[in-house]
Amino acid sequence: MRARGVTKTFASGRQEVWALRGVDLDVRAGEFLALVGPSGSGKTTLLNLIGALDVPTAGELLVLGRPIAALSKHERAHLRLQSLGFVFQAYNLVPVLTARENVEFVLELQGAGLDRRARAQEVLAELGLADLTDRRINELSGGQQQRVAVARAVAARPAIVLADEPTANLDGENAETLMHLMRDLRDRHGMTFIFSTHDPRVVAHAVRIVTLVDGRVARDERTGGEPPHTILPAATVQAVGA
Amino acid sequence: MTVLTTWRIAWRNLWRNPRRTTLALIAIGLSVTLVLIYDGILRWETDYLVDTITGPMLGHVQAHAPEWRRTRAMDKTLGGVSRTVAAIGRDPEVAGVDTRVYAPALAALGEEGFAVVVVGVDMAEATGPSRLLPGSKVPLGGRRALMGRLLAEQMGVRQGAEIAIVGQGVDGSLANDLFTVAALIDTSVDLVNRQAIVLPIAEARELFAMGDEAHELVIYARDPARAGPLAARLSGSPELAGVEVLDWKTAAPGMNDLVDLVSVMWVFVLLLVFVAAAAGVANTALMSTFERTHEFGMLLALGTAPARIVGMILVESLALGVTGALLGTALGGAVVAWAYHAGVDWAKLTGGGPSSLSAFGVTFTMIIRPRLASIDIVRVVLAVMATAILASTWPALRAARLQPARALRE
Ligand SMILES: Nc1ncnc2c1ncn2[C@@H]1O[C@H](COP(=O)(O)OP(=O)(O)OP(=O)(O)O)[C@@H](O)[C@H]1O
Ligand SMILES: [Mg+2]
Repeated sequence: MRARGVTKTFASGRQEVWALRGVDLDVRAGEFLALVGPSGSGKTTLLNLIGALDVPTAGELLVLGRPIAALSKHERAHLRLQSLGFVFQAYNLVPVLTARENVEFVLELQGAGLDRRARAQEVLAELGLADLTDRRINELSGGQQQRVAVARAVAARPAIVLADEPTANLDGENAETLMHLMRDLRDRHGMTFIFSTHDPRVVAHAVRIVTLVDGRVARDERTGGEPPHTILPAATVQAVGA
Repeated sequence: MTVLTTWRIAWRNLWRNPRRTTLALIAIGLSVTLVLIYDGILRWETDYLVDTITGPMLGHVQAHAPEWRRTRAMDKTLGGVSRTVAAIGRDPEVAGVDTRVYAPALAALGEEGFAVVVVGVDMAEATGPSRLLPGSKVPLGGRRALMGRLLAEQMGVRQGAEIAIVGQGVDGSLANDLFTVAALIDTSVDLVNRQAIVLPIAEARELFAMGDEAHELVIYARDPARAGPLAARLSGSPELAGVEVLDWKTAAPGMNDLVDLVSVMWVFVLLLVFVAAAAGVANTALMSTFERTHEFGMLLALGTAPARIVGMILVESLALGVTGALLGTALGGAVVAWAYHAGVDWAKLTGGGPSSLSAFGVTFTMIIRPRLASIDIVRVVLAVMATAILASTWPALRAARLQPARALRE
C-alpha cells in the first residue's frame, strides 16, 4: 500500500473539514502497524481510504497496486470483498446468525466452495472459539464477538486486514488476547494488519507505530526486533501536506 | 446455502422483534381472512344470482320466433318443436330444454274476469332443481292448473276452486275451458306469482289450438358461464335456422348488470388487502431497516453487493407477507367452509333484516352459503406478495444506497 499526498476533505454544512492534509505512507506486506493519534486526527478516515470504503479528495493512493481514486464503486466493493478484511469497533456481525454462520456468510459472498463450513470451523478454532461456533452473536461476550469478527475478516486470507479501534469496547484482558491472536495470525500467514487505537497496551503489540496529528503523519517508528524501516523526514511530510 | 440462508436470515430477523412481527402478521392475516370471507360471499352471490335469474324463467339460452319478443303475438310460434328439442338435447353442453307457451287470457271465477298469462311448461323440466317449480309433486293433467298465489289472492281463489279460462287460439278460434286450481304457487318470479296460471305444455297447446309448437325454448347449459358460445353454436345449427337464439345476458341485460355489479366489488376488496398488507409490511420493513442501518453499513463495507441487500430485505417482507397470507387463508378458509355447511341467515345476522330480497322481479332468498375457488386464494396470496414487494422496495433501496463508511459512523 502506498500513499502520496493523500488528502481528504468533508463538506460539513457550508464548511470544509480537512480530515487528512497530505499523508505519505508506505506499508509493505506482512506489517503489523498501529495508527495512533488524538481524536479527530484522521485515523478512521485513513483506514477507510486504505479500505476502499471512500476515495481521497487529492493525492495518490495505491492499495495492492490498484489506484483507489480511479476505481468505480463496484470495483471498490469487489476489492474489499476479495482482498481486504475488516474489523470495526462495533456492529461487526449479523446478530441473527451464529458465529460460524457469520463467517460462512462472508465466505459465501466471496464465492468460496462447499468447504466453507469446514473453513469457518477451522478459522474460528484458530481464534479459540471452537466451542462457540453455534452460538448466536448476542450470546457471546464482547471479547468473543471481536474474535469472531477477526475470524470473519481473515477467513478468506485477505492481503490486508484493517481494524479501526478493534479493542475500544474491550477490557484490558480481552484486548490483550485479541492483539495476541492478531499478531499470531500475521506471524503465521503473513497478512498485513493495520489498526488504529488509543490504547497504549495495544500499541505495545505493534511492530510499527504511525502517529497522525491533524491529518498528517507526525511520527513513524519501529519497535522491537523488526528490521528498521525508512522513516520519512518530517520535512517531506510537511512539504507535501502543506 | 444461498437461497436457504437468505430465507433463514429473513425469518430470524423477523423474530428479532416478535411483537412488531406478530402485529404485522395479525394485520395481514385478518385482512386476508376478511377478503376471503367477502370473496366467498361474492362468489356465492354471483353463482346464486345467475342461478336465480336464469333457473326459473330465462334459462341460459333462449330460442323464439324472430318477431315474438317484440310483439308477444300468439301466432309467432316455433314449429316442429319436438324434433328441434331432441336435436338441441343431443348437444353435450346442454343440460335440459324447457318448452314454453305464453298465452294472454282471461280467468274468471263467477262473474269477474282477470287478465292472466297462461304459461305452458314441460313439467319434467320445470320441476328440476332451481327451476320454476323446483321439486313440485302436484299431479297435473286432467284440467288441473297451478295458480300464482298473489293472483289467487287477488281473485279470491282457493285451492280446489274451479275457474274458467277464456282466450284466443293461434288460429284465431275461441279458446275456452274449465280448470281446477290444483295448488297455489310461490315462485321466485314475481310475474308468475302475480299473473300466471301454469299448465302442462300439452294442455296449454290443446287449449290454444297449437300443434307441435311453442313460443319459447328455454335451454339450460351445463356450464352457465359458457352460455354465450353455446348460443352462438346453437344458432348456427340447421334445426334453429331462422330462429332468434339469445344467451341470457343478451335477453335480460338488466339482470346481467346486477351480476356484473357484484363482480366489480372485487376491485374494492382487492384494495382492502393492498392497504392492510401494505401497512403491515411497510411499517415492519421501514422500522427494521432503519434499526439495522449499522448492520447494512457493515455488510456493504465488507463488499456485499447492494443487490444482495435489496434481496435480503425483499425476502424478509415476502416471508412476512406470505406467512400472514397463509394464516389468513387458513382462518378465512375455515370460516367459509363452516358457513358453507351451516348456511348463514342474513336475517338473523342483521337482527331482523330481510330474509329475502326482490330485484328485477326476482326474489332472492338470503341464506348465505359462501364458497371459494382456488383462484380466489391464489389471487389474494399473490396480491399480498406483490404488496409486500412494493411496500418494502423503498426501504430496501434506501438500505442498499447507504454509504458504508457513513453508515458505520452514525
Ligand atoms: N463523514 C464525515 N463528514 C464530516 N466530517 C468528517 C467525516 N468523517 C470524518 N470527519 C471529520 O474528519 C476529522 C477526522 O476524523 P476521523 O474520524 O478520521 O478521526 P479519528 O482519528 O478516527 O478520531 P477518533 O480517534 O475519535 O476515532 C474529524 O474532524 C471528523 O470530524
Ligand atoms: Mg476513529
